[in-house]
Amino acid sequence: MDLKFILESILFSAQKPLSVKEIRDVLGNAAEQDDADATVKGLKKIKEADVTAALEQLAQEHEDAKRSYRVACVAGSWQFVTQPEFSPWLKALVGVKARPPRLSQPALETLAIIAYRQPITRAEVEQIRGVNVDARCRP
Amino acid sequence: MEGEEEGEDPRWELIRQLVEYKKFKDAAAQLQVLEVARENTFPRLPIKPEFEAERAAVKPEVSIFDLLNAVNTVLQRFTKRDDLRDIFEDKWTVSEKIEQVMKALTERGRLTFSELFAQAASRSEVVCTFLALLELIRLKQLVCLQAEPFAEIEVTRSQNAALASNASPTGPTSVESASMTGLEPAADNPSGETAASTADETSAPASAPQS
Repeated sequence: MDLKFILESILFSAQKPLSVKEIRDVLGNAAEQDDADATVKGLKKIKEADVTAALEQLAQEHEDAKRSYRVACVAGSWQFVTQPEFSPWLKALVGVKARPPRLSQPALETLAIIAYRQPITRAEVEQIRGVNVDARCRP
Repeated sequence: MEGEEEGEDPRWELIRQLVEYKKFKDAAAQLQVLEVARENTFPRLPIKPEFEAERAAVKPEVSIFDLLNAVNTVLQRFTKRDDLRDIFEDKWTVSEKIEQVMKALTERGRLTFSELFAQAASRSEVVCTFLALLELIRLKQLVCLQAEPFAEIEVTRSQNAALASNASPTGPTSVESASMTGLEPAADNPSGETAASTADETSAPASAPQS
């Protein structure tokens, strides 16, 4: 059995996004509960790098298959997500109305500077943007 | 040959700054694209997979119609016998039955539906017990569960009532005291009053002879 499909089944049934470490723990627990199966047992001490590689391969396969959903890694955790172009129907499904983006242009610029130059002081941000960023830096 | 002169053209500094700002402006545009994409991306959050062992633990609550069917079966026992007697003493009230059921449940934890009616000697006693059961369900003192379709209905104390009795003895005892005082409304006890008054209402049709 291919590791990537084992991972796919775990992510398909998981109730929350899973980090590579959490996925590894699942594989480890499975091996402890059932060490008769050679495949299950073989994945007991798998390296995190191998899990990541299999997940990336799986994600690429989903990309190539061009289906309506993907396996995506968000903030270090993997999950199944639908493609953005299907949002009109999904929003209607759950009853959410379309709304304008939450972040203004100045906020996005400030965010971009902080994201790519961190750690950075407010004065340095102001120097790049050329304007006062007090309002953007408040929570 | 101005470029080789000492000191850089101050315009270069301005250009560098503008170029740098442009880079971040582009980055911001990319972030905006990502923001929109993320906002329109929906994760799949399935419900927890159920396996056989877990399903067995699920105990669906019984509907009023299940209870009515069950009590009808019990009542069939009395369809003939009642005709043989001209007069019988109607000695049971709903409040007494409430007390009895609660006592039996406190002692034994759970009762099957048929056990509730095993001792019943008359049609009116069955009706009294059944009304007591309905009353206790309404007061959320007990719940009726059925482990699987067609299984015997089981009666247990409701979880809330059990917790309440552990936390404060005023919960279920107010019902008990109300039923013990019979049809007199318990003074200074709002919950007891409701229990007593409802028992009063429900006992009225029960005391009428059943045809």
